Amino acid sequence: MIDLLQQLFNNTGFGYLDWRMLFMWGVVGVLLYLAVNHKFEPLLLVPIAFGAMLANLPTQGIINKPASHLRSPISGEIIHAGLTEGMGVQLPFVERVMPDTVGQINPRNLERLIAGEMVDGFGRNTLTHIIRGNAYLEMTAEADIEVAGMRLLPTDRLVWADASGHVVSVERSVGMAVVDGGRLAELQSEHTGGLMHYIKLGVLLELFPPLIFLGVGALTDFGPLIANPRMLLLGAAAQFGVFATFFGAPFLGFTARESGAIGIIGGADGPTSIFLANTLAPELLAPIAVAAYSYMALVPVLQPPIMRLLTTSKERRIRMQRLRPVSRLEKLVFAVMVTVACILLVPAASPLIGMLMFGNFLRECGVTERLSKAAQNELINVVTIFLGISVGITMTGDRFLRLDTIGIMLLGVFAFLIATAAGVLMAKLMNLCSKQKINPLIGSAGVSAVPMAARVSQVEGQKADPTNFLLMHAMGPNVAGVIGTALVAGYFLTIFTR
Amino acid sequence: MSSFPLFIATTAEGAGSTGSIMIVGFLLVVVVLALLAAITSALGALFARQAAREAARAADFSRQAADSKAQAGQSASSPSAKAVSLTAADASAAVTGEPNPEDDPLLLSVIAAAIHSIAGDRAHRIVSIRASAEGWAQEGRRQIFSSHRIR
Repeated sequence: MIDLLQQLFNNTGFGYLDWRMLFMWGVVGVLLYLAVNHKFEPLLLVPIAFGAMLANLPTQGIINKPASHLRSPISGEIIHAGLTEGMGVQLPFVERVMPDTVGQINPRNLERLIAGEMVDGFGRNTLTHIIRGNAYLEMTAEADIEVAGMRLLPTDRLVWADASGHVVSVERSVGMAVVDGGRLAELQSEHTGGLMHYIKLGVLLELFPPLIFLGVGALTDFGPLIANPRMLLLGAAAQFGVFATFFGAPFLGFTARESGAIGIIGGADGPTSIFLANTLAPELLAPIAVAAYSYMALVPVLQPPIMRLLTTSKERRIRMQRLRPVSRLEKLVFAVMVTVACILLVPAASPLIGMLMFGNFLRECGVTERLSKAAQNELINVVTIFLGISVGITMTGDRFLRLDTIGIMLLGVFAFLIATAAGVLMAKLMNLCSKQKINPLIGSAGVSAVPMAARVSQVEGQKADPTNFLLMHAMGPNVAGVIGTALVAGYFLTIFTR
Repeated sequence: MSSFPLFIATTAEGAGSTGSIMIVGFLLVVVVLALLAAITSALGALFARQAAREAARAADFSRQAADSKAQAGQSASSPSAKAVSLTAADASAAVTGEPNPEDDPLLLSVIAAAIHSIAGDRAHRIVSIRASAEGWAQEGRRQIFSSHRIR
């Protein structure tokens, strides 16, 4: 009976818990508290937090990938191949980030893994190959790490199995050359992958952010922007926050690609942040998404001090000219014009701009009411659930609890504050050379965060003059910020992924 | 594709520094959005001119209607012309906003609101309200048929 109880206990998940998972439960608790109790972006934070909870539990059959071909991450020469046909591969129950290179792993653990032993947290037979990159082949004489009779370089690349199963074919052996993406072996399993794996493909294949943009376009009235096109300049100015952070991030040790992905947090646009991070820095996707949505939720706290600091009482009382009515035809022409112009100038922004304006066209054309309503409600709600939980599922303890995360949080708030300041200062600059005065408070709405940033402008404006209504005026820079952030994302993609 | 972004990317790579990527990127966004602002302003000016022309036409129409009402009032003083002028007087009453005493004001309000929801902010004036024979039934059938895909 004791044996049975012992066996039962061994089959529970308690044995897989570690301090990082427990710490992440605390993070999940904070996120749920902010979302439920304070209603901070609850539509996103609740799915993200719940996904994070699942990521930090020893789940089975929910996150795992289906077994398939194992591919080389670099071009080089194979110096160790640990798989043989029929061998079983078992991933650890809790997903973890495996070390990329020989220099990042404890040599004793490496030796045991090469010998095919079970090592805590690494599963069984998960280290499949060690590959020396082409750039390091001439340095073979300098290899000074001796493991299992092999002389290795710290830069030698470790290849890990990404799914459990058994090996059905080995396509490359020791001494053979391999190209980046080339097949190394094939694994087979009766399990076809967990639900979260397939949902997460929506992020990996970059489907969800454009679909969210479709819904945002269907929900957005571009009328205030069309009635006062100068507001586009405020949306452009606020993007300075993104670029200033991009410039500053390398000083904290981030690469240029990572800096671009982090900087976009200043655009205050969650889907765009996810879209860019997934391409430029997939390993930083979780902290970037959490930072972006957390700061978007904190817009009413972060922006007002900057707005008050940079404006005088007189400026905050400026009343703006009433906006002219915009006809339906004008809105349709605007949607088409923005799509064509932006895609011609920055083709990489097509998925976001194209879907944003498509959604808006559905809304404004007046003959696709059912499609417009579907985009505004069912579609955006379903995708929001999937997007949130996909991001949350990446928040495993060892991926999230790193110094990088603190750096990203700091840079994110910096990006937000600079973006706010740049928008306000641009409005003041425009007042110097224009007869029609702009209330500089609406400049802060140039960060996207639709419509919360516009609402903050309205609230701050009413504190200075309770009879002044800035909301519709602030919606102009607010939606201009969405277009601006999408352009910045396209620009970074153009620069870094050619 | 030999496009503008590729040119920028090449430039940035040449400069090879974060600073140049930052400056070029920010300028690109400002220039693109300024360009959009300029095009939108130009289009807005065209649409505003057209709207002004339509408003002027509506004002002319309103003035003509008022004139015709005045003429109808003068003709009505002659007993022989009274019957002939009745219809014109009704029409002009509608045009100038004076309700026909036989119309239900509540019904008029509902119809005016419905027309406004369709026409939006475009200048419009209700000049005639007549009962329609089987329009509602027809519209209902049309909506039912159009909501199903024929297989």
